[in-house]
Amino acid sequence: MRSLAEFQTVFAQQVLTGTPNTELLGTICPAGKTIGAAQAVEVHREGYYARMIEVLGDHFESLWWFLGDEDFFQLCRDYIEAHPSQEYNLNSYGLKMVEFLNDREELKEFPFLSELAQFERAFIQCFHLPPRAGLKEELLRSEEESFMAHWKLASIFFLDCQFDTYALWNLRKLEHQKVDEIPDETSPHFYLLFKKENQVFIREVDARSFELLCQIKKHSGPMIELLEKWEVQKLATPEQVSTVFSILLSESLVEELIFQE
Amino acid sequence: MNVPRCMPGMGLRTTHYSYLESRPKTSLKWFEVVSENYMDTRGRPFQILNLIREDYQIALHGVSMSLASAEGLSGEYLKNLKTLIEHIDPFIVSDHLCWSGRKSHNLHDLLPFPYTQESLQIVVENVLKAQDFLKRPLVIENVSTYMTFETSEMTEWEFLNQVLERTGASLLMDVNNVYVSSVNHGFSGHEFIDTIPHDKISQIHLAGYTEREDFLFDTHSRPVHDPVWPLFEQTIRKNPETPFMVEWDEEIPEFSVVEEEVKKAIRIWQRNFSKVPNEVVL
Repeated sequence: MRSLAEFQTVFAQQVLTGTPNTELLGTICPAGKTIGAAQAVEVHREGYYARMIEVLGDHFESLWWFLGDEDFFQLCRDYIEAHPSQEYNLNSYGLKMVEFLNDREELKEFPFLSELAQFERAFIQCFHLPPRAGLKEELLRSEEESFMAHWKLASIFFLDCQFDTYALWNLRKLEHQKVDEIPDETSPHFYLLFKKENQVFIREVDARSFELLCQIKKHSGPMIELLEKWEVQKLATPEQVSTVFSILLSESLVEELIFQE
Repeated sequence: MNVPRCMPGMGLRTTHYSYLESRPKTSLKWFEVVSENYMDTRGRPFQILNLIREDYQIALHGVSMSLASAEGLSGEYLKNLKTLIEHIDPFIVSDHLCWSGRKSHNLHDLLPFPYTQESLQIVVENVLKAQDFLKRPLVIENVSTYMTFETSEMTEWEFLNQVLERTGASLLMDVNNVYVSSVNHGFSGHEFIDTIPHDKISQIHLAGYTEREDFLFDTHSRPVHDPVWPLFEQTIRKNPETPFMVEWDEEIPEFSVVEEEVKKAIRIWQRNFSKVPNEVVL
């Protein structure tokens, strides 16, 4: 080992792969009297996988529930090998789980797993957002004036699912033998995940409200522009618009009214 | 003669959030938090930290600065740590004498390395860079190790003393780690502690280890073991005002059990410095 950089490269490689490096092992004096140099490195290798699996277990509780210990731990090991952590922050570990699950042929019997993983990721991201109060309803009630402003919405995670993901996610707290039926039939479900005060809220909405809310979130001009577009292009009935505003108001999802000069 | 201040503390863990939210009376003057757990969140962990900060001093304790990394420190990490420091105004900012992986593969571990002149140069540069950026001295913790290296040119304590001397940093003396490494590698823990100048010790850690095969493993999953207490006593006698604390990271029991370990440390402190400040609650 000619330098610290070289030592660290080789050491990290052995921790990750478990493949012994003779030159490295030759320089190691292991703790105690009975373990060998390779076993001493193995302490760190075991610790690495245990730590990363624990993180994935925290982040993907419901995947663990569905797969069971053996398959979940194997999935984690495969994920860890495919996607080593590059961040100091373990909160962000597992970001590629959705795509990873989509590529796993053997998981086709659980077609809802990647949606579930997406749901769990969104929940964690939402959890780490700051507490949020939102604008008071009264400020939005004077509609004509407020429609001249851009409605800046809170951070909302929009999840367009093919399964009843919320119901599937809720199973994770139950004992397996107490679950009679897995709600795994395909049917569209639309969820909003957002923070209100200190709590993460999950609200299921109808398809049209979901679409309109997405449009409001993306829209950067005055609200009146969107309302006119919806009316002219017949994209939403007055009832649908009313439903959307009701969601925004009741969940305090409008953070700021921005009036353009 | 001034009565020295007794400075007991504890590592803040999520399992105790609910209990601490009720703002109970404790024996503690401060909490230590793992910096990384609060650097990228503004959710519940951050809110709890702010609440606790209203009643206690806070020490920020990092696990990922990677002071012994040959690749250098992460600018993003330092930037985010600095933001947290500015918000919390901690009385101590610490990390470990170790490396935690490579930029391409963060191993999230406290990894050993050979104590060579080259390593010393790298660690010193990294510590100076961090201190320069954070605008404050660092406190550096000795780690438990499960191997040493034939290529080492000095002992761990010689290396540490060199780092402290060249950087102006001070030591977070983890007496559990001293004990674990002393058993694992066959040196005297008391000798280790003896070599560190009293004014270079800024904090003390206490924790419990696990016995594995024929070596000790630093798990923080048990009460403090009997052989560790004399090392604590030796260290606290160097400077009675050194903040000391108990950390417990696995199989975490209820708050009162961890606090009882802190109280054991307070009793040792009292035995040595007879007159107890009234505000220390036992």
